[in-house]
Amino acid sequence: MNSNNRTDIAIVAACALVAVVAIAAPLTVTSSPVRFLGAFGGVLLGPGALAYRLATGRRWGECFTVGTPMNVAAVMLIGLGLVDAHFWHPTPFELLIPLTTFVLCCVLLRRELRSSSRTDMRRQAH
Amino acid sequence: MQLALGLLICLVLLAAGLWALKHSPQSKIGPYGLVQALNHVYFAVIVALLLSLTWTLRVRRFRSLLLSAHLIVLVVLIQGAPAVVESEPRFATAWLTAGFTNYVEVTGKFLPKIDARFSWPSFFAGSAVLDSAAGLKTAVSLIRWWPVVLNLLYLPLIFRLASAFLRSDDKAWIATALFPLANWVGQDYYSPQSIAFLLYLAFLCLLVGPLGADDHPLWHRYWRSHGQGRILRMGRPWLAGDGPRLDQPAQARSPAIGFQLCAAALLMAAIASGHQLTPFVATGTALVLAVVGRTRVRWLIAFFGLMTVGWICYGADTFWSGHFGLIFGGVGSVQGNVGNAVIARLHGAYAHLFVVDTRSVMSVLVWILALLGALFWRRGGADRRGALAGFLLPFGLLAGGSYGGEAVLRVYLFALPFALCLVAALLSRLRLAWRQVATGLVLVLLLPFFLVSRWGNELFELVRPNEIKGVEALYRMAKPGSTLIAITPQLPWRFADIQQFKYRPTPLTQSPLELILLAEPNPKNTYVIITTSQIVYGWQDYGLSPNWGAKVESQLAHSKYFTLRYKNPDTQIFQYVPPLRS
Repeated sequence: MNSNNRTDIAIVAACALVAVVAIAAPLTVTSSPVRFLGAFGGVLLGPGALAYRLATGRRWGECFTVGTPMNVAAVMLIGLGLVDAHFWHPTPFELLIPLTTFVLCCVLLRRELRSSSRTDMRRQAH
Repeated sequence: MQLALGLLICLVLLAAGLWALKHSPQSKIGPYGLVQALNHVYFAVIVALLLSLTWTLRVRRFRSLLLSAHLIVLVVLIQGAPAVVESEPRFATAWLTAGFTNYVEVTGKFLPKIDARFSWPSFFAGSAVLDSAAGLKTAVSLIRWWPVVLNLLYLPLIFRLASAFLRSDDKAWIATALFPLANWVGQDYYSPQSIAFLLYLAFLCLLVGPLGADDHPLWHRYWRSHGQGRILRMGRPWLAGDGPRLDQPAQARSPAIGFQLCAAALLMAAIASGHQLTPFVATGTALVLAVVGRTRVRWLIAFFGLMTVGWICYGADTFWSGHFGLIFGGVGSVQGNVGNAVIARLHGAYAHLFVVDTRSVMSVLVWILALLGALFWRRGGADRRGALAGFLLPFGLLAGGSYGGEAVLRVYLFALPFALCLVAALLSRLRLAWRQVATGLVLVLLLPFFLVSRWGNELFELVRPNEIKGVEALYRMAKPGSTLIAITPQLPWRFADIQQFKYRPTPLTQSPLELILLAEPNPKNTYVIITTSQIVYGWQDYGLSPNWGAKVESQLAHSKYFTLRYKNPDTQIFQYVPPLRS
């Protein structure tokens, strides 16, 4: 496993951790700094950057720079949709964001592990 | 070693800056604003930070990390200064926005008839979703540190944008370093426009970054197809080809483009439903960038335009029906709109005029430096055409309307990212050592301008704890359906139960007779609230005498039509007593 792979895995793991906190906090505690950090951290480190990375393979800096505003836009449109549909249940629908993050983290992690194992095999073959 | 030293300097300066802010008493805020209250150590810390930032520009190892650390500390110290100094979150309009969010969070509905801002409601809806998930009881908790967080989110986007236009990280860092001190307009408070600007920057980054192009401008093709190539070649340095070609692999078609186009559409959808003005600027900028050949997104711009117009027709129908005069009244009247935005603001007390003058000088200074940057552009270095087009486009807003007298503020804000690219290009004309000296000088020169322009109105924009206590007392004593009157709009209210009362904010009311006329439709339940911020606003912004508020209070206290119901050192609440009719 090279240093790039390690960095990728660390970033994806951090996003997954924040997503787990964002999912678990509203289900377990009513009001606390953990819940606050989970909800806002879940949007800042949300699915936009991960999806951008998956689709384009660009550097993490660019992925987060564009991905974070994408997450914000997604939350705004989810809220608008809920009000327009007269179905105002914000908390469960907000959980869509960290849930998507978690799924994308799994996909990215799998890809990274595969690519690192391929690299290791090539090295061993040499 | 270098990294550790750089980070240590940042930490020490952050600690010293926060200490200085903690020792800056709110009571010393005067007619010139926050700058009068700031501890002397604070100025020394900021100057040291700017010098350290300038020095770091030439560092090779860990430069991004060190510059990012410096910029984070700079934003926290200069944008977060009132958050540390003042006891309550600042700015009445932010409290009002929080009230809208609270209403959506509790009811899941909008109130487009109460306020035009509810016709572009996606910000309130999104914020309500997040508040609910975060377990916040009120969005007021977000107001205090909102500008700091938003400015921190703007910075990487400014860097990407500058990097795309200047095609050099060295120059892009200069533009990014200038942004926190050049952004004096104060549209980053808890509001729809603060988020809309963030989405706008991300939208631009996509258009000129991954979806960027390096084509000839459209007029070039037109001239060539009409046999005017010779004339074009004569004007070539200005018209075309003064930038290197983008790397071709970046331009190749790939599945990534589909994702990036969807991302741009997602951002545009949120912008179009979130703010009145930003979607027009975003669409216009996209169109201009396509015309000058700097983006591959062409036909999709029509889709962006349709989103903007479509939302106005569908989502904002409550606003535009019956307000045609308000929307289209200023179209084409550049002189009138500039007059509304600039000349109409040139009134008030001497200190307020000084603040307005400082803002004007600072804006003109940035614009002049930007134009010089365009004029003395180094050929072959970067993309002058795109940066200049993006810089000039927002000035078109002046022909569109006065936007409540804020058109010039919006022009400055939307032109700023491009202007800073041009300024950075100008500074980059110098050799490395001189470039550093010039950058440091510009940063240090901007500091006093920023502190006066940004926080110059703090005497009436700050929120006093007694005012909040007074407004809460008003909400307790007034029955639902009561009419609530403020003598000037500078009052932090409507942050709770906005639908329960009839609000009558007036531009300026000095006589009890006017208040009686406002109270007449609801004679039994009308309250007038007078606070220190409102009185200071009348004194500073309208040039009234400093004790005009005391006179109004005395007149109301001695009037048989009003009775004093509540009093604290910063608030008085009077209830209207209707005359007995036989």
